[in-house]
Amino acid sequence: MSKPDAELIVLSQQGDETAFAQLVQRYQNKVYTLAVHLLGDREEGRDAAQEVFIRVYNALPRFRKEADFLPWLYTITANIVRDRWRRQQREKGTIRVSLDEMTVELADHRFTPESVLVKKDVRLMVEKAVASLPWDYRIPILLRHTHELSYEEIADIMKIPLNTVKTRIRRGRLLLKDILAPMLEQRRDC
Amino acid sequence: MTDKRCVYQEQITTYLDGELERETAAQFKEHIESCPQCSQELKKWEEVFNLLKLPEEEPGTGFTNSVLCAIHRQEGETADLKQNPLLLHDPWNIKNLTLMLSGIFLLAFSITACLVTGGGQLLLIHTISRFAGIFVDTVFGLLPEPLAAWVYQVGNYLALFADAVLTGIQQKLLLLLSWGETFLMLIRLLPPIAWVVMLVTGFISCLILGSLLENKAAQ
Repeated sequence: MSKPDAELIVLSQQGDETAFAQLVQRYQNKVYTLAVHLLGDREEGRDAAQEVFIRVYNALPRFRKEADFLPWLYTITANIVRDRWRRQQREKGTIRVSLDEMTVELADHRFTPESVLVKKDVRLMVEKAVASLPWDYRIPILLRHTHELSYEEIADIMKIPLNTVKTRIRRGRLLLKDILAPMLEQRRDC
Repeated sequence: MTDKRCVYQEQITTYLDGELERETAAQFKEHIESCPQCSQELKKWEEVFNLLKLPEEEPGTGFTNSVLCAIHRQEGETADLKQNPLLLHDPWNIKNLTLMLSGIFLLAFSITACLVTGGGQLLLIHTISRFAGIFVDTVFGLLPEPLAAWVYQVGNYLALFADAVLTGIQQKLLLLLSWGETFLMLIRLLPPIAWVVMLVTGFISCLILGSLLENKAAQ
């Protein structure tokens, strides 16, 4: 039977490497998924996820026993991925991907109707659309829809007011609906 | 053209979120059945919501091991640095050290120049003494009479001593610099604007150097 988080955390704090490895195995998919979707790149997402667990390992001695592990992990992930994303933007010399450009790009994408039905293609298109959102909308949208967290949990992770979370999710959804509209229409036509 | 957007459309995402209260949700459902516009919009939103349920992904085999290896590597480097603090593996350290040394040099250079070029001669020392005097007098005013007189006397001696030390340092500095005739002349000839230009150029050079070092190390 697998040990609960609290026990693994205490053991990790005492230097038990096997316990920390179990924590990594338990949460690696969640961290990796969030990082990949935020960055829109699997290779970068893997590096970011690795950095997250190294940061967790270093910060674990300061982790309060009564706190929840997963929200803390998501906060670290969001911070590390945001720093990486900013660095990427600086290196590329671009400030932000234009949403209009993204919409046009998706609308002009001449995929065949057959390919629209391929699940993997659809998923990639959605991932691309999410990764094109302004940074502030990306995290709440993903935490809400992909990770199925409540608005309160998202506010706690992002350290922002509840109403700000709601506003960002609402705006993010509207943008996504516009971006994905051409694809949805084509799916309906098939 | 008038916008015939139904008011219930505002509630669609809240409904799909499950955030509508029971009564409002019942009214909403009832409305949806009779309103084709809202029904169509609800379908669109349902599709968007379904698409956004992206599946969880796996980082691949060996991820946990790669994390543990990275931690071991990091711990090894930390141990090396503890043994030899001057070990500069991290480009960030090299950058910071360069910037710090350049900063110290620029600061020392500017203070020296200020003292030597005449503008700062004695003025700096007298200003410090004056402010110290005001501060000391204020403190003394709060002390009882015999103690104040005694402390004031000691303070006076200390002030005289500090003044003598600072003047001595300044004179030593002048003497040292007078050995480098060309340097001294150059300093005296330079207008304030030249100092500003030199400082700014120096600062920008430091930043460029730091950035180059960081990029080189990152490659």
